[in-house]
Amino acid sequence: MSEHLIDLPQGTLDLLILRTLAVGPQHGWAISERIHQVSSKVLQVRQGSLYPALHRLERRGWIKAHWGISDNNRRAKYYKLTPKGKKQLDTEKSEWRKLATAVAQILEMALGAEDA
Amino acid sequence: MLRDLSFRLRALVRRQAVESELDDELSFHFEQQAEKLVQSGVPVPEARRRAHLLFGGSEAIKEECREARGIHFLETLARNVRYAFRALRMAPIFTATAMLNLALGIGGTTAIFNLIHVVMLRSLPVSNPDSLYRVGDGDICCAMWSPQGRWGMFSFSLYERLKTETPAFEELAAFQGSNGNMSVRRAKQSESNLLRSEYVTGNYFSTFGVGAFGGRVFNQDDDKPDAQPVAVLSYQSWQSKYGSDAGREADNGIFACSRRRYVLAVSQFHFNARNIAETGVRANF
Repeated sequence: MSEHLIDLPQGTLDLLILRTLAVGPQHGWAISERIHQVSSKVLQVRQGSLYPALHRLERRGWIKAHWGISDNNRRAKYYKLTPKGKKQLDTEKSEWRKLATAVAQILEMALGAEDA
Repeated sequence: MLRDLSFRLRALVRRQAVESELDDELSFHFEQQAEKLVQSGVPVPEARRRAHLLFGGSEAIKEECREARGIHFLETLARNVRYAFRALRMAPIFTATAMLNLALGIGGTTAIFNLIHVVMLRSLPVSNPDSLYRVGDGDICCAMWSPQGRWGMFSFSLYERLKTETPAFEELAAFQGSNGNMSVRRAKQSESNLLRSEYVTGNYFSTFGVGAFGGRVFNQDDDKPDAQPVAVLSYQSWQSKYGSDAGREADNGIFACSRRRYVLAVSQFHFNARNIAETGVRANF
């Protein structure tokens, strides 16, 4: 519990969930674990944000839920990316890249101004 | 859009199922969390305690999930409707005024429609359409050259015989088989109009229960050989061909048809001849 966690910027959770589900269907727990691990334990999705987000994405038709059996033989709710969700993932990915590039550029400029 | 609505409806209608699914989903997550801690060497009770802490308030999560599913929209709608009713009860004068307005608006429209329905759409333009019968068979009525072997046309002598020997009918009127035309012009004017016409018996108008708008309609006396020729102009023709103006002359036989002079009358305005036969002039023979 000593890891340094940072809060997710607004609006990025959907993108992370969709990207995680692009690998294959997962239940909520596995989604949060995977995000945690792949981000080198920097990102931790809180359950309080994860589940409402999943239900919201399902309502929008980007993911679809079904009940299945987990690795440890328990009944779990799995989420799967829909074709519509795949398209949404592509859109959000490119938007995020644009945003990240723009933010990076501004940070560079600010640094230059300080140096001067 | 439709899918979104069905998703919301399921959330609302199958509420029990959706709620228990939510319970199962969240408790699965909780179990996994606890199990992970146990595997990393934390004793079971401590693991559960920490999982609880990590999990946060599950009621709050559920509430947010409900909101995400869009149940709130429909619930809020129901609440708003209830609120509206309460507010209306608190403002009785406004409510009464609004309701009166609606009632008058809806009632007026309905009444006008009923009137039009009765006068123009439903019944024949005669006084008692229920007791009206056509003598004969087949669909084709009153046309010259109607099919052989059908009883659609009758000779005048047969009509007279039927009239005297069928006391079951109050009246038995006859009109001309197929329509004729009459060249109609006003006395002292050279201009004439070609109107569709038919010869009818003296009891024709009384059979239908139709009166005159101006002048008089035919009666039994007009059937006598020495009676003066009379004609009834339909209200529609009077309006469209003569600008509703027959002058004072209307009473005095000023319309000339062919070489004979007729006393003229105008039939009742709602007697749309087209429903009986398309006729501009009804002349007595």
